[in-house]
Parts: sequence; C-alpha cells; structure tokens
Amino acid sequence: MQTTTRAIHGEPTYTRVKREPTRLLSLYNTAPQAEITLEEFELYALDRLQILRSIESLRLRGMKGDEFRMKLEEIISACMPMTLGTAEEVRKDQISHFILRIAYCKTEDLRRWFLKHESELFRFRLERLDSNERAKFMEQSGLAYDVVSKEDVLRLKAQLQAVPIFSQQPGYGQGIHTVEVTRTQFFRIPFTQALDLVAHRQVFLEGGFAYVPVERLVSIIVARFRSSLSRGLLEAFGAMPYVLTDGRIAPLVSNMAKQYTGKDFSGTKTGDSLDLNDLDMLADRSMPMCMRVLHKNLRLEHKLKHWGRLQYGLFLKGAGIGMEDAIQFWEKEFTKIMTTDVFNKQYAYSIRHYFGKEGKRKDYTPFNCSKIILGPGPGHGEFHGCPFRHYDEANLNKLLERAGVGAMDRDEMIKLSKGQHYQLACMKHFETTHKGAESLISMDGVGNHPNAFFAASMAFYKEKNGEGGRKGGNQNPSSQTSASSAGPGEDAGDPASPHGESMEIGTGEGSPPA
Amino acid sequence: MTAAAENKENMEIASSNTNKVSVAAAAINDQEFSPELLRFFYNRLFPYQPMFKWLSYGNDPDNDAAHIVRDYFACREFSFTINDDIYIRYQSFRDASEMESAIQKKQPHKIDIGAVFTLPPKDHHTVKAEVREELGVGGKAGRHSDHIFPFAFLLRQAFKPVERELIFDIDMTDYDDIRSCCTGAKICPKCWVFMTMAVKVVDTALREDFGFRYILWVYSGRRGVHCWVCDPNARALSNDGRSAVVEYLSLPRGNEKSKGKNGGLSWPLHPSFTRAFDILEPMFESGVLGEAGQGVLDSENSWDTLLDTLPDEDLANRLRREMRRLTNAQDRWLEIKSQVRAASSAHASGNARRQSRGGRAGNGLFALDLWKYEVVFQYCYPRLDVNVSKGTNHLLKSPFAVHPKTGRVCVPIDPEDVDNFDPFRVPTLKALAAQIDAFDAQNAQNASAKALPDYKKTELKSAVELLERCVVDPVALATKRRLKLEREKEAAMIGDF
Repeated sequence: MQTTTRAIHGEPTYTRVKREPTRLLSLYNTAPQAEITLEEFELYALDRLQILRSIESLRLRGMKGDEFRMKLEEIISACMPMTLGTAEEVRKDQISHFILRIAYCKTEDLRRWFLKHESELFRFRLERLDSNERAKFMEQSGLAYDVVSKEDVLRLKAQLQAVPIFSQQPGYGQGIHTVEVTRTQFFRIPFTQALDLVAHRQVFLEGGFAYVPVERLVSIIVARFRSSLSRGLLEAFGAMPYVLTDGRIAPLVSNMAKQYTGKDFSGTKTGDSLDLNDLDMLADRSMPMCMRVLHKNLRLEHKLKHWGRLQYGLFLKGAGIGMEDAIQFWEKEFTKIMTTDVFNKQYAYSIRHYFGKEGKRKDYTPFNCSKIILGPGPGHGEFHGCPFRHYDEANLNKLLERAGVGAMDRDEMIKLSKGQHYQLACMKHFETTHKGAESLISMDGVGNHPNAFFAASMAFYKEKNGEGGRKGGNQNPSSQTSASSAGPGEDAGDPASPHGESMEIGTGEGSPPA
Repeated sequence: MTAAAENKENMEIASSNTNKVSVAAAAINDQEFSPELLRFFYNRLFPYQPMFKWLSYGNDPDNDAAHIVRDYFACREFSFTINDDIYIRYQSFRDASEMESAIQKKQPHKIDIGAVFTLPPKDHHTVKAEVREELGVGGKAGRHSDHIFPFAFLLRQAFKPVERELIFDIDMTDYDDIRSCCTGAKICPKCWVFMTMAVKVVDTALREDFGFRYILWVYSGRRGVHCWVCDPNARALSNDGRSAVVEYLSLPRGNEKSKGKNGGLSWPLHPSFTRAFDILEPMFESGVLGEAGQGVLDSENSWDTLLDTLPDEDLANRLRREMRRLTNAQDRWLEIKSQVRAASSAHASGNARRQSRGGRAGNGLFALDLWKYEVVFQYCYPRLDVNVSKGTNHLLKSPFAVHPKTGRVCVPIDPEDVDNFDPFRVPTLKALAAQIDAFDAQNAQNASAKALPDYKKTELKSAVELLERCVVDPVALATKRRLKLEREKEAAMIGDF
C-alpha cells in the first residue's frame, strides 16, 4: 500500500501550482458528496490512517518540536500531500477523513484515539498556515473573532501585560514568554470558547470576552475542532447501522481500525532463522511480555488454546522460525500430553494453514499491538492478549517482578497501564531491560508490534556483544521491508477454520503465497 | 415514597383542610421555628408569584404567543425535604398556583431548586430506567459528564438536565482554620465580614470579567450565602464551562508543601487578583487585623506566625523587634508592608533578589512581592464550594425558604449594600407574624391597606422587591425585547411589516 501511494504522489510536481489559501484546512463540518471507486475508498482511508499512526508513533518515541514537524511533514507529503489546497488534495483529505470517522466511531477507545490524533494533525496543519491564510480559514469556518483595536490594547495594556503567555503546546517548549502587548494581535473571543484558558487564568477577561493573543489562538481553534469532531463521531455512531447495510463498504469500515500500516513482519524468508534451542533464553531476554507469558505457559502446560497458539505462532513465524521448525517445536511440546497422532490431526493443520500451505493459502501476518490490545481478551486458562491491557494490577506486578523488573520501573509501568498507555508501558519495559538501546539501535516500532520489540532486542544484543549474543538471528527490521509482500489489508483472519474462505474480508486481493 | 411519608402526608392534608391558619395560632409557640409557624408562612407569606416569575424567565404557560417555551417552568425540578430527613426529588409544577398548593400540602422544611430538564421531572419515570442510569441521573450524577457517550441517539429523548442558573455556595465552615471567634455552624458579626468580602469579590468578577448582569445573592439562612447567576448564557453553560468559571474565581491550589509560602500565586498576578486585593485589603485591615477582627498582629504569637511565612528571614527578624514597639495591629501591618516593599526594591536593584528563598524557581524572584497578596488572600479570598457550582444538576436551597434551625428566611442580599447586611436582623418567622399583626392593627380603618398581600405588610416586602430588581424585572424586559425581535425577524421574512 505504501508503495502504491508513493508511486502516485512520490514526485511532488506541484511547485508550479498556486496555493489555494481558502482550502488548505477544514473543520470537516459537512461530508463530501462524491462518487469514488471502492479501491480509492480503501486507499484514501489507509493513507490517512498511515499519517495518524505515524503521529502516534512519533509521539510514542517522544519526538517533539521541529524534529516532530519535519518527520510528520515528510510522512504527509508521502501519503497525502495537503499543502496546496488543489481540488485533488481537498477531495482526498475530505473523503479519507469521513471514512475514518465512520471506522473509528464504534467504541470509546477508538473514538478517543481518532480524536486525539486527528486533532494533532489539525493543529500541525493550522500552525503551518501563515497569518493571512489563518485569517482566511477562520473567516470561512465561522471563527471570525473580533480583532481588538489598537486603542483598546493601549487602554488595557497593564491588564494584558499581567497575563503571562505560558506555552504548553507540544513542541514549543515550556516557559513564560512575556508578550510585548502592543506588538501582539489580540482577539476578542466569548469566554465560553476559551474555557481552558479561563480556568487556568491564562487570559484576560472583560465583559464576558477573553482577550486572546494570537499565540494562544491555535489552541482555541483546535479546541473548537476537537469538540465538533467529538460530536461528529457520536453522530457517525448513530449512523452506523445504515452504513453497515452496504455490503461493499461494511467490511472495509469494520476492519479499518485493526489495519496495521507499519512493517508487517510477514517476510521471514530472508536471513538466518532462529534456533529452536535458543527460544527459552530468548523468551527471557528478548521477547515482549505478551509473548514471554505465552512461551512460559506453553512450557508449563504443554498446551496453548486457540488464540494463544495463533498469537505466539505467528510471532515466532515473524521472528524467523520456518514452517518445519514450527511444527517440530509445537509437536515436541504438545506431545508431552498427547499422542503424535492427535497432534497431527488437530494442530499441525492450522500451523501449515497460517504458513499459507493449506486452505485458502493465505500467508498470515503476525499480530501487531493494536490487534492484540483491541482483540478478544484471555478467558480462563488462556494466556494471549497484552498483559498491560488484560492483567489486573496485582497480577501484572507479580509478572513483572518475576521478569526481573525493579520496583520503581514496575510502578511506572503499572501507572502507564492504568492510564491506558499499554504500548508506552511496553516501551518502558524495553527501555528498562535494554539500557542504552537508543544510542545503539533503531527502536522503530517498539511498542507497536511484538516483532519490532523482538527485532530491536536482537539487534541490541548483536551490537552489544559484537556478533550476536549467541547464534543471533538477522533481525534488522530494515532487511524485511523489502521482502514485505502483503498489504496492510492482510488481516489475520482465522486460520483455525480451515475452510474459512468466508473469513477473507477486509481486502479484495489475497496476497499470493511466496 | 415510603409508607411513613405517605401517612404523614395524608395527615397533613387533613390538618391543613381544617383550619385557615391564623397569625395568633402560629405565634403561640415561643420558638423561632415550628410546624405551625411554617404553615402560616407558606399560607400567607411565601412569594409564589414573584418566584414563579423569576424561574419561568418570561415563559408563561398561559401566554400563547410564538417563541414562548410554555413548559419551561414545568420542566424545572424542585425538591422537598419534609420532616427533616425525607427527601422528595423530581417535583415539578405547571405554574405558580400548582407550586403553591404543593408546597402548602407538603409543608417542606426545606425547598431546593434543581435544573430545567428535557421533560417535566415528575414524568421522569416514563423514561426507561437503564437510560437514566446510563445518563447518571438518579444518584449517580456526573458519571457521564464526559461528552463522549455511547448511545448518542438515546440522548435526544432521554431525561437529562438542559440548563440551570450558575450557582455558588459560600459556607462559613470553610473558614474555620482562620476564624478565632467561632467554629462550625456558629457565626458572629466578626466572622460575617468574610461573607461580605466574598460577595464583593465574586460579584465584581462576575459582572466585570464575565459580563453577567442578572445576579441574585441570597442569605442561606444560617452561616453562608448563595449566588444565582441568571443570564441566559450562564444558564446555558456546560459542566465544563461551570468548572472553568468556578476555577477562575478560586485561588489556585498551592500544593500542601508550599501552603502559606506561595499559596499557589505566581507573578505576574492576574488582573482579577490585583482587583480582588484592592477590594480586600481595606477590609483585611479593619475586619481581620487586631482586636476588632480575628486578632491578627495583636499578640506576639500572632505576628510570629505571620512573619514566619516571610521569604526573607533577616527581614522577618528585624520586623519582630519592630512589632513590640508599635501599639496597634493596623500600624504593625503598615510597617510590615513598607519594609517588605523597601526590601523588595532593594533586592530588585541588587542580585540579592536571586537569593531570596521562595517556592518555585520562577516565583522565588517575586516571593517578596507576592507575600502581602498571599497574606491577605489567605484570610479574605472567597472560599467557594466548587462542587456545588460544577454540575448543571446540583440542587440549591431556594430563596425565601426557611432555615429550620434558625427560623430565618433566606432573603436576597443587595450586593451594592452588602456592608450593611446583618444576618442577625434577617426576619424570623415569629417576627414576621408579629409584623402582620402590627400592620393590620395600625391600618384597621384602611381597607385597601388590609387587602394587600401579606408579605407586603412585613419586612419581606423589601426582600421580594430586591428579587424583582435583581432578576425578575430585567429578565422580563430582556424577554420582551427578545420576543419583539423574533417577531420582527419573522415579519421581515414574510414581508409583513
């Protein structure tokens, strides 16, 4: 998918086109009425999704300021240029926004995710406008606030000066900037539209109006955007039943949120494979908590239930265990409590299935974090899922303690989990167990994909110990992207239902088995 | 309603039918409050009509003109407390006369006013219970104050609060840590000054900063004051909006450690704080300092405590010696202020300023400048009960209700004249009864005077007039103007002038 869009938009040829200031940004108040092909429908949505997810991952990596803006700019111009306001750009921007609005309105988690990252994208684009363009945008969006006249600014000079501009915007750095009020433009805004500023006394009030310096305006407009989008998401939720009656787009919309747009770790054919004998050591050393738990319990119980087998099996596949090895590995463990015959009949098939050798011959991709987090939680006797998401505090604490995480770090990770920052907690786990990793290796995707965690850990030990701790596998993620053949539409479906052709929703094309 | 309550109610209907309560009968008892006095009050004095006029905001159910929300008053929640401990929520009335008969029938010891809902609160049972549960009404208020709510389509037909006045509650018990005269429910003229200060500061901020115009201040009947802001945009405020306003009006919460040191203030001071200081400092000098106030700077102990908070120890020690020399608290305060000012400008000129100890790094520089504000605010800045203001759905005691412990009527307070408001001269039920008798005796020959509504024969006359002046009349005028405007707009649209 990425490659497709790059091919379309890769070479920016728009330098000759004049910027259209009135169409650079939108509050998305009305949905566009247009015909599009199903292919475009999915393509547009995934391109926007890619941008929103990039925002998330840049933030997860703690990126701020100019660095953040530069990276984001790069990603936006690759996926969906929005710098000129041409009809083409506006069309794609509008359509993709509204598709995702529908796709992300179903649950509170999804809505919150979408709201957060759309708002951040909006803020980025708003800040990018020059003052002239911003004024035009405000005017056409019904945000035409009165500019405070020079005389009024002089009259209120003392009061305006007494309100510090305390910038807390991400990327702006914190600190008190005293404004030279006579040189700043102030807007008169009804106080009900500047509640945040009012609550923290960060604005001067007179007669029900907040006097907002232009530096503060961005957050006011973003707040407006946020609240109208929040309302819009609820409306979209109300319209959901209607959308789902359309058999063509219903599956696209339903699966959109689970789509993974990063590296999918499906290309396992290159490089060294892992040695099965190393798995116990690697589980302790290099696997994220979710996989570690699965491995330990497999060794303990000699069995995993369906979702556990799938989550761990696909992870191993992504980590470089080939099909023959995989069958050998599972067989060795399972036959401790059952006969080889039973194993072959009941379990070997599904392993071959998710390697794309049975049934519809679909090569399944390992689960990414959002799939694990949003997917079905573990029931009794099950061990799949994300420990940071699905374990209660006591169990999580015990688990982390057994994994050798210190008390302070444990507290922090538990706190993150409680705040629903499961992926941050997982990143924290990586950081505490791989001290100094940032300077050695790329931590791309850690906290977004278990295989990225594993790959980064492998790379870390390889760097640290010269040529790999033991027989380290080639887990440099960059070597895998080129081999990636499956599109992000490759949802893992359900390989355990062997004749599951009907499960193949989410994308029109299955990927050819290698 | 419990069986006991029902029983009680039936008895009361029976008794209220048997006698037209006479003043004499009510005044027999020597207490300030009794069921007889209350019955007399509800039968003859409670200003039903003005209250209805206020709370309907021009939406008269009998007016069939366009743009009138005829069930506006009917959607307002009233809540009664009968017999001290039985709460009856979700009462609602079509108009003044329905309200009157319900109050006279139930004889509530306390009347609370709630929000205006999407439908008449007495019909709230017609909405499915689980919807109400989800919405967080019925004992679980605020659970879904978050605007992300999973069943948006249910919201439209659900029972939920739509608007209510922006309210504030200031209670003397919140001042206990600085009151040396009384504690708890007790008040005296010495501590009432804190309420006066609060009314002045909050009233000024509401008018000047927020532009509100229809503000009603009410004595709570015992030890506090309530404030009702009735402007249309105040009534329409979201919960977030209410929180923002009440936070703006409150002192920033300094963390526990810096308490007394920085008080959460930071430099430069917000204009609303500077203004509050200008209002409060003279009252601090007259009402808090010295013997006439809370005894601050009156004894060695008290100035030691105060000077301990000074961020400059040398200065504090110097001042300690000075204190003994001076003879009264006001002079001591002046001396402290002038020395602090001198020290502060000396610091400002030298690098010494950097060394002054203080809370956070940024404020350390200004710790000396901030100090006098912190001292005055610590005593005088309004202490609002934020939780009362935050929710659209919070109940607040009705004006003209009676406090069962004191027998005093919750009368409006004129913010312009709050200095002269004396809670100990607020009429009690007994006094009011006597006033009617006196009036009637005096005007025995004057038939038209005798025919006056009873409340006009008593001190309540001016109290009701205050209600009318603060909210009823200006809101009625605004409604008239709004309707005229709507009609003109309509006429313009159909080309009919």
